Amino acid sequence: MKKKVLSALFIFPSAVFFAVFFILPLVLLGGKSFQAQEGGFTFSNYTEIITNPYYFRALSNSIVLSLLVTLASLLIGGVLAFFLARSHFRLKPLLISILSFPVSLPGVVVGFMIIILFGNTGIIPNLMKALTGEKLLAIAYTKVGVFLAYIYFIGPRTAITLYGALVDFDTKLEEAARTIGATEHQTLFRIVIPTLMPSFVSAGILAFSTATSAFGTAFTLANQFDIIPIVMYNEYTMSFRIGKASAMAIVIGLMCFLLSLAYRRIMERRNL
Amino acid sequence: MDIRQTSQFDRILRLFAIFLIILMLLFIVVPLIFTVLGSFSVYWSKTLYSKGVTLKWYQYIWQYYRHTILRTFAITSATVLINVLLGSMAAYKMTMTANRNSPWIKLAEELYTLPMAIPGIAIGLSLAQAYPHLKQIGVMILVGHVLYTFPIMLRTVTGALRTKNYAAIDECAASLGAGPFYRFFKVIFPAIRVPVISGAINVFMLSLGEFNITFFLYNPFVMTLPVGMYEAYASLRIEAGSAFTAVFLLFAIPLTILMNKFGKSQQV
Amino acid sequence: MKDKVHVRLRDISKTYGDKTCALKNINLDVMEGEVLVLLGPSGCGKSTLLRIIGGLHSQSSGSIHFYDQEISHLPPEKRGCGFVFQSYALFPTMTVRENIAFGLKIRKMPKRQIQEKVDSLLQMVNLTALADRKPAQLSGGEQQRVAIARVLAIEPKVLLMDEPLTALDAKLKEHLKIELSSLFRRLGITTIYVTHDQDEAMFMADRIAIINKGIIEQVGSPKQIYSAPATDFVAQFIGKINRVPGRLDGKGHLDLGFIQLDYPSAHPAGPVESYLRPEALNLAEEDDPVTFEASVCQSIYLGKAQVLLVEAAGQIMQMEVDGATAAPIGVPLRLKLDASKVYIF
Repeated sequence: MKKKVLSALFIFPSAVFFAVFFILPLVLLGGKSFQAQEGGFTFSNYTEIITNPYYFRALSNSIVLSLLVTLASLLIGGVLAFFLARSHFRLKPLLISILSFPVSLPGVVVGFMIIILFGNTGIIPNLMKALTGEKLLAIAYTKVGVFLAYIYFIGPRTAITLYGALVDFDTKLEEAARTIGATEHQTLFRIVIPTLMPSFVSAGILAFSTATSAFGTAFTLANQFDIIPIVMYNEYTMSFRIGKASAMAIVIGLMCFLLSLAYRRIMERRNL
Repeated sequence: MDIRQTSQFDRILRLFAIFLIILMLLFIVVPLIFTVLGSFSVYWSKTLYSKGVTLKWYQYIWQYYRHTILRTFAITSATVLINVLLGSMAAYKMTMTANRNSPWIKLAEELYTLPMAIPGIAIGLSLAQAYPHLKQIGVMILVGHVLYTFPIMLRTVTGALRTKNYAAIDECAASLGAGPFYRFFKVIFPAIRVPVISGAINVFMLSLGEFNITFFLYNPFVMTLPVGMYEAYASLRIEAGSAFTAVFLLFAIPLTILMNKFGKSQQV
Repeated sequence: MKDKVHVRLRDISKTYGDKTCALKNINLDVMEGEVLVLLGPSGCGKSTLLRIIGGLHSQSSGSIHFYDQEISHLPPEKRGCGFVFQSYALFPTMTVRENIAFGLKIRKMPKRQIQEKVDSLLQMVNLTALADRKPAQLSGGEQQRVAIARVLAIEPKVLLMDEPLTALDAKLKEHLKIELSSLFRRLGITTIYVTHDQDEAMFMADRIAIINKGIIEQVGSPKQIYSAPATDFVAQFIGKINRVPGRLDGKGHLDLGFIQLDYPSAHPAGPVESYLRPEALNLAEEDDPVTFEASVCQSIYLGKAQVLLVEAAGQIMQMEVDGATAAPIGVPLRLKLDASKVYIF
């Protein structure tokens, strides 16, 4: 008995911590999301996300932005990963270190990088002015700016995820295909890409959920382009609509949670 | 395969890949370089190159945001300490004890890794609403950081404990008469210190840069570096923002290098 | 049929970027329809040579001909070799049937014909029941059979096998060894087979090429390799052998210390290393003229036979006797030595 108590002490502190600071707040958040502004139970916090054009636009902006970022990241990441995995040069480790750096930058710094590049006094507009006499491409605070900022950290992250999968890829499969008559391109499209499909899908899921939940970056570049995390924050701090903010948090949270479940399913099946 | 039959198409594809890599590298590195350059400039707006050299922006940041820097290190260090202890203890319990295959342990592991799957803003909002008083005294930032980085620590340590046969070592120590605490602190913990350290660096890095949760939990008296940076970006001149960012990079870049080094040494 | 050269390698060398030499001037003729085994310790270059023949590596110099056609610089898909890997290399996203059909689809064979051909191949390797499974659901032996069927589907001119049985467990290996060897005989495809396992090599081969440190030490039938090793490496690598220092007197005698043999040899007089197989040593009969005495140090009973470690004049040697023979430890035996099984290099 004493032994059992002793060994329970190992997990007890973290269990209490999670119960108090994770489960309970999330349950309360769920409760709040069904609470009307004047008190009382309501579904309207959720239904309004669809019916209210302002919220709905933010939701669709979020989804479209995340989809575009995911596609672009897969394309950039895929090309980069293929190139890195298939060629050997002396500076490769350095290149990989540089690529992995933005992954660990806070979102606000990523936003600032875009301001440095594309802000009103940024590098590119100044460069354009020197070249053409006109300040062009000062796009930091537009949709494109937010998109570029997301690419800044999600692109390299996707590249590194795919690079890992490609390095692990068994090149014997390609050799086998070649010896039984497939050309390099047939091998790429019929063997390599189908075999790596789960890795691409899971990297895409990761990119999508990172993009939907990113907040700091968009907030730094905040402007007329509303996406769900920003609207949620505004509802909470400026309009004090706790119920609405909670419902939006739950929606993003559930979306990311379900995507992460799908991601894990894919990874588990791949390891079979 | 070392055969290379380069066709015209391949060469174009290769050139495209090289072009894309160079573009991506410039995209990543150029603003970092200009941030550092800009932080020393007296006035930087109309031209590419900045005018004059000064340290006044650093002085300014030190004067007004010193507290965020110091506070950040206090919070980050505390987060690392708490997670090294809580995380590796939980990992030990979950991988070593006789009931490691019980459904409860499995459930706990699922729960413990959940903060990674849920967006920071949802966690931040839930904490801010649940404990408004604690938020006012500034404790909640630490709580949020511990919660957010706990899964990383736990994963690193459970991963390390599962790869080698530590369960057998632990059982062997137990059969020789060592109690659970002795076994944990004197037998297992020293053996896994490399993954623990690499997990700790990871936690430090994540905590240092955390913004999404913190932004819901800070108050004007207790804030962290990224929140301070956000304020600076929103309200100060770009030179001051650059100086603040440069201070952050001064910590972040060595940490990234350290992390890469550790990642490599662990593979060996 | 076996007197026409099918694969002709001339002066094949492979040097890597860091100047390490993997293969040195390999010359080898593989006859039409024969099974040639490349045998050697791991890291000797045998797999590299096989991959060069298949076009998966490029040689640094030298030429490869299939019959009279030079294929030295053709990409692998144009060489018409079937390559079987140690790790099977089945396409994980495809079923067994799709794996086998892959080469035929690439060749744009009509669907009907593919179907028929795959069916007959499935039957041949005994996998009809598993046709719609994915590779991950098969055992190692089944996977390797799929890999072989996949390669046979394209009717390769040359079959290249890189340690195809090494990853299998002992029992399965024994089984598949028999299956493969009868398949080779039945199909009569020119086959080059790489292994490090000498039993497997003996079992499969029409001829064996022994490779060591990037050069071919000897090429010959299994019997030639065993009974007439060309170099000391071959003698030690194939089968068991005792190494005994001796002395040649230049007049046709070899003195091993415990015995003097008539041994006509072209070697100059002086000290030599001699190699003798365990079966060169036998119990002496009453009327044998030249014998010597040795004492038993250890005996290992193996059922049908027993291995004895015997000592004569300070030299410990291994020999084999019938399992029923009484050979108590410490008791001297009278032995004879068959000079035709003693090798000096």
